[in-house]
Amino acid sequence: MVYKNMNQKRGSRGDSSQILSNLGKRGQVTIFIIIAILIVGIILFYYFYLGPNWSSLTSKQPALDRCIQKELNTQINKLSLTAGVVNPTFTSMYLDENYTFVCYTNEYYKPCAVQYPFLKDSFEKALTASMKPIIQNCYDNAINDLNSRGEEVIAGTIKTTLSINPDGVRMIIDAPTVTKTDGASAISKPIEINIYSNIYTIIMIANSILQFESSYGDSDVSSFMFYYPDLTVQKIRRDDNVKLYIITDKKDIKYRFASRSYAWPPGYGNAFN
Amino acid sequence: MLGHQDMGMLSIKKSLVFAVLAFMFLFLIGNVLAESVISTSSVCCEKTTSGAFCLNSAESTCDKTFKIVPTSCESTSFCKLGTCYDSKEGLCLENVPQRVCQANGGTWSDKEANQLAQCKLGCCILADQASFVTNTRCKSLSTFYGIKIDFRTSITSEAACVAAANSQDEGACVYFEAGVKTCKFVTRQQCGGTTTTGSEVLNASELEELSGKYFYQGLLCSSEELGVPNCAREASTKCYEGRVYWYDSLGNKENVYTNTANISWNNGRVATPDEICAKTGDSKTCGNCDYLGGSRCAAWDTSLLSGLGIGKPKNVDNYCKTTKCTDRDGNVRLNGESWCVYDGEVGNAIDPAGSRHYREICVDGEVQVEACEDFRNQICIHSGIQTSAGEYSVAACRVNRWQDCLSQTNKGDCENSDSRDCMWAEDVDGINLGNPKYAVNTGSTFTNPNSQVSSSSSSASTVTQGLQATSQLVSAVGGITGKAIQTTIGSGVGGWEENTLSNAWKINRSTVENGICVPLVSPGLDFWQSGSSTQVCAQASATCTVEITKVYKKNIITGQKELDEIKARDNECLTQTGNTFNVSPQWAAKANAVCSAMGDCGAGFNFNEMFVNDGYEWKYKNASYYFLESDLGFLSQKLNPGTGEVVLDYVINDKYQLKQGEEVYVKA
Repeated sequence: MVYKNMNQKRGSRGDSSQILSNLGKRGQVTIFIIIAILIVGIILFYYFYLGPNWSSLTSKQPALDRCIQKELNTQINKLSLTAGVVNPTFTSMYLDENYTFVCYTNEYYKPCAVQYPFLKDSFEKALTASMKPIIQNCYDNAINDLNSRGEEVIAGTIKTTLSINPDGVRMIIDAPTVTKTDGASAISKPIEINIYSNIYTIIMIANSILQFESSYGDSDVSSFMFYYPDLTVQKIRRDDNVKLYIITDKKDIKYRFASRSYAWPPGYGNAFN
Repeated sequence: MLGHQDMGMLSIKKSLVFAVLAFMFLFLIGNVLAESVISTSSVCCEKTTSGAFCLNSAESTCDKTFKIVPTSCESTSFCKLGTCYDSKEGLCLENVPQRVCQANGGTWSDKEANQLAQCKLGCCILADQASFVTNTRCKSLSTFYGIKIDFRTSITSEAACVAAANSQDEGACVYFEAGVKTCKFVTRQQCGGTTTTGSEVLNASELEELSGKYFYQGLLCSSEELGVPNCAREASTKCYEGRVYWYDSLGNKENVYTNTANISWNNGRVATPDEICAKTGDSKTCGNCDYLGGSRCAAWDTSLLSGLGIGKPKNVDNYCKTTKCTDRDGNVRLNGESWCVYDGEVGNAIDPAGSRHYREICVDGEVQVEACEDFRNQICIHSGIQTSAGEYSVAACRVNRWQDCLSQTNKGDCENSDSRDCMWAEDVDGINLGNPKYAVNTGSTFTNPNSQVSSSSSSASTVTQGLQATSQLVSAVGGITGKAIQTTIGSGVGGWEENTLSNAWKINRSTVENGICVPLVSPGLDFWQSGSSTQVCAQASATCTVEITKVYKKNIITGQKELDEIKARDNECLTQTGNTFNVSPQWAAKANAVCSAMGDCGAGFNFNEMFVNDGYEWKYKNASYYFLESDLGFLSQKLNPGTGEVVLDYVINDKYQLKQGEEVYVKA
């Protein structure tokens, strides 16, 4: 009985310690799970936000993607300010900003003569040209980075193809980089960079405004905003018959241009201003 | 002695000398004429020094490395305007100089766009969307979206094209992919070429056997009959065409969102938005957003500041949000609504000098100001669309058609609103509109009292060179944002033309054929510069001719003939007190009103509420008199006799004749 009791006591003692032990084990497990989640989270965060480009590293291609993507957006925003024209000279100044004339006449009662007929094509060419030194710089940095890591890398000549599409901007960079590992060499494949952008829609709206300006001398901007509620189209009419247009995606892009078409003189006026 | 042959030779020589002289004379004359043409007009610059292509301009502005031709650009081959075709994008653009088009890789034609086959527009059906474009553009878009090309040349208008897109059959397209039955909610066209339409529901084995795509018109992918695995209904919401729609777990569009159970799903059948719930404004329970009510689909804001999206239903990320603006008068305006704003009273030939019309638009809670063309070359008009929420205002700037008002001689032609914007006003004695003999062109210019506030137009050179002064920029800001500092008559909904007829001192509309035709909205003039403004205003100059009879009576005492009284025939321009005649203030005011109707002429308040009187002058015996601010007030509606009192003190054959330059007349 006593033994039994003892056992019982022991048993009771043993049960409580077992419970405590179990609770401690559960706590440990919980802590381990939390730590594991944190580790996984940190790893994921590192790879998705801070870490190197996985695909670039595995394929031993220069990690160009991020370097170019960032600059591509910057250049789109920059070129939009001049309607895709690099260093425009024929402009109208308003509030210290230059607006590129895409259509102009210096006469009254006449339609404007289009100065840049293919706005998308002009933008693509200008964007390609402005990205060229940037891509070269990114590429050189990437090659140097790989070389500093002990890779034997031979740089190639860069060829770039850029297109502005309804879903954004697509860029294919063909830089045939040769990497040598253990006596075997491999040539990298072309890199495709796609970024989401509203620039296609914006240029097409600008093109539509240009069509109206050259044919009718004016355009209704509110209709564009009804069709594209995410965009804002603003028309500023100057007192010299110049119209300034600003198309924004309410984020970064501000596409600006100017037009003077079917100008009206004050009163009866003269043929020329 | 000269023989016959010599005589003949001499004659030939004389003829040759004459011909050479004549040729030289013609050559010289021709050169002189040519030079005069060049110097007086301009040359065609293929490119100017400022970088513009194909401008008729002074030779000094041309880029010397490009072509310079002493003729109009329209007469040259390289600068002739025509249609430019972009074969890559399928876009056509009119009024493109040949040189510019070809330099950009386009195909140029001197024909109009509608005459070119490659520029012919048609309806391009792109799934449930449509675009009214060229065939090449349609191919380009269809290829990009991976859709079979559907270009319909039979549809000839954009509206019909949009209607064609809306009439596309939509339904579930069921097929097998990697051995798994799946579904896409698309149009019949998108479903693919092997589509079989049938109302019966096929089971998986049949589909597997056929390995085809089956289009079920009017069924949702989540429909239970289709039995598509892993396709859960109403998994999320998205914005589509301004409304909130349910989407299934495979990402297919379903019906419009509503929070009422099973209504949206509609037993797996397609339903129109109005069948799900009535059009709504601001609503978190119905996704049928009413666009004309200012409502459109917006995303739930789940940020900390917005209360972490508390109240947001499960799987619902969007709702109908109404965006409103408040106009200058405090009226609530819906999103997309536009209305007119004016600098002062408008229409009825009383627009103040320097004023301009504006259109304002409510865009996403922000009011955008859009100025109409300066010098009132454009006017703002508006109308309303009746909706359940009241009237939805729509405004537009359009050309002010005042130019031929003065040449109209009857009420019918004058007020023919299909052709022009004029009004038939009461005739005023002494004014003969359109008759140049009354025009007084002194060549002088008038002061611009608002020059500090609203400076003159920028010259073309400042624009093209981009070198505008800061002061001009500041003034431009004022002009662009719209002053609208005074009454904004017509900023509400309604016909503004009828709102401004009550002022007695304004021109009265004439109901009889005896009247004059003046612009309804008087045009603006650059009166501070020498130009046509003086001539335009001078057309309203008035010369008052009066016929006055002396009545004599015989003095019964002396028997002498004595002057008894002086009587004037009824005349609008004079008032008589005893034997003294004064200019009638009513006549003077009416003459001034007609003068103001011509443009920025006459005496009165400008748009900045500044009184200006140097546009109206009375003359008598080479002395000038002007209205004072206290005499004439548009705001006070009061006119007192001016300082131009006239005493008739001489007689010519029993008639008092008031002549231009000497007697009473109004100089505008």
